[in-house]
Amino acid sequence: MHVKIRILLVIFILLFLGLTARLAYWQVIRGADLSQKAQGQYDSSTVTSAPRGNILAPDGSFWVLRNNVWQITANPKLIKDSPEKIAERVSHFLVEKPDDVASVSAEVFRINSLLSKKNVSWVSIAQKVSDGIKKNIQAMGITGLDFIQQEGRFYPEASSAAQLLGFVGKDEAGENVGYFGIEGYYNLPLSGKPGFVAQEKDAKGIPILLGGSKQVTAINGVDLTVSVDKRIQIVAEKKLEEGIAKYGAIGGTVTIMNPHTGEILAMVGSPSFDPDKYQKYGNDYFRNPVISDSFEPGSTFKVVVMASGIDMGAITPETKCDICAGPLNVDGYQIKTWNNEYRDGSTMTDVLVHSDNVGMSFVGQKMGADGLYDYLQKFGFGSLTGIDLQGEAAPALRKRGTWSNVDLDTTTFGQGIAVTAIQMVRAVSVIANGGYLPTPHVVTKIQGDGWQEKIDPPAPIRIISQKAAEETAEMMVAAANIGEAKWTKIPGFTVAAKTGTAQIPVAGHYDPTNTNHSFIGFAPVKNPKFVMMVTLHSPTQSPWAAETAAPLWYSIARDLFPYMGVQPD
Amino acid sequence: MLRNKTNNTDKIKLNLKSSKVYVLGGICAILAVFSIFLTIEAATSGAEIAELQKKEAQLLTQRQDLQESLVESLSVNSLQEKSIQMGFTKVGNLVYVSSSVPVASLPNVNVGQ
Repeated sequence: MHVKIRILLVIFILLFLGLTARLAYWQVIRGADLSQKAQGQYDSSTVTSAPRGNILAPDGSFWVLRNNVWQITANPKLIKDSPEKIAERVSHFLVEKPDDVASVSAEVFRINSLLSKKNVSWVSIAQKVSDGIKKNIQAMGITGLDFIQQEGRFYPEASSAAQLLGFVGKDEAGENVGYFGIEGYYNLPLSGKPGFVAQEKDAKGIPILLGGSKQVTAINGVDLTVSVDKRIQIVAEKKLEEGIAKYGAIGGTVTIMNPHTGEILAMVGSPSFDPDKYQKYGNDYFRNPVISDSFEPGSTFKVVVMASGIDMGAITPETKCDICAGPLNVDGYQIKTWNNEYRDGSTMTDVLVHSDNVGMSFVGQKMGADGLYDYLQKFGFGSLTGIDLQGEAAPALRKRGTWSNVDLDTTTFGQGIAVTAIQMVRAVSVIANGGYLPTPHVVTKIQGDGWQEKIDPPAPIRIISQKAAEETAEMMVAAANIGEAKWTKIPGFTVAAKTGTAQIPVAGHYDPTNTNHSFIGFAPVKNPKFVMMVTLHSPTQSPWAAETAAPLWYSIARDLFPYMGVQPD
Repeated sequence: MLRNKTNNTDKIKLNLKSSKVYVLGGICAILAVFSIFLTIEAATSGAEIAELQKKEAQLLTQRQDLQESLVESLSVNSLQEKSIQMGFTKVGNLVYVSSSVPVASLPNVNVGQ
């Protein structure tokens, strides 16, 4: 008996030792490895996205609103129905024109080929699908389809202000990035900063509260309030499109700015694009011509030169031109007036009213090349304006001290010098506001969660005297009232303005058939509420800006006056 | 008698010891039950939190969708279309009227009268 008990005891001891050894193996030798694997199962880390900021108009309505869109994906291995039947059911929701048989057929083919890939377990069917369409497709109950929420952008005013707003695309890593305009310039503050959550979760994905957790809160993107007024912008766009069609132009711009603060009230470029479908457009459409495209301004530039000459003391509005009796010969070139009419003894006001190129050459000669260069620099030409939009360009001025006589003379009437529309508007604002150079800007306020901050641009700097500004403004009033555009002015309203018809440089010479037309002005003259410049590229209906850009300017102004409370004199 | 007294003292000591053990045991049992209860509560709270997070996400999505609908209906383009449908037309040529409106003068108020 004792022997049997002892044998049993030995067996139990051996079993116990075996168990201990096995436990030691799993808990000690393999312990670290298994613990790591277990941690991989219950540890969960997620990047929490930061919602992109919105862009608001001055009245609090939205120019751009972030919204929820969906990516439709599929696992072809789980598709039970025929891929072609699924494609036929779904394709109508994913095309722009469901009535267009060709586009629907193409979509069916595309989706069918994606769903037929049985060797992959994930394909993307469509991106940025609206919530309504997603619900319709989801209601079909198609096995194998999945929906991933994405962040999108909603443009309540459709393609209005597209070039100014910019758009949100993807970078190389597939992350949202703003391109052009406000979305590009303010991409970082609009994007915010993603957060991070790491916590232990059970097999069902439920957080284990007693477990460890780490969290970095996401910082939401800020909202931006811009100065661009919706109604003014939409009116300007509508009128520009009408003007382009009426005058047979290939494009154009309208820029409207508050001359005192530099706030942009409207900025239009045509042709433009739809920011919701930016993929369908080429890069040329994304450029904002107001800030990116340079052109020779022609006679609109004369007002800047006049203001400079008066401030310098080289001329007064009453100074008489003693070379205006006929064409001017300079460096082997002949400078003529636009209509070959010459008035000996013209005053400077007459020179501006009749847009006399010879008279302007007289002003240039009185100022000298270096004097004119210095004033052009003061007016901001040759430099960026500093506007808070991505894509601004600043054509360089010819180097100081390298100007020939013909360079000087042609610059005085806006040829042989390249500017952008925003530079011109900024320069004329100096005349409108009594001599201060403003900084054009679009964003006026930044708002975050529970805080907001006003954006103040640099204070305007005085660059010409108030007297010089006022005298130039009066000359511009005379130009608007009795110049070649007088036929189109609005009765009862005093406007300071100037036309410009400029030849277009092509490969070292000027195109004999094409011209750019512009009209720039401000109103009311005493305390201007806006400066506006209209440009039309290569209009074909008339060779003169007085018959194209000028009436277009007044057509927009006619709507602006009551809206902005501008009363007749 | 002395033996009886000793026996009684021993019995009292034994009774005290037993009651201490019972009390201690009872406290341990309560603590154990409480501990188990809290662990279960923590586990189920995790599920509640996950559910609340899901609801929060749904509500945020709904809010976003409603905001989009509201913004779309209040857009300038949308209002323009509706105004045309309702028969509104754009104001044509504005006529500005200038007139001087007679205003009654304020009465003279003499203090103390």
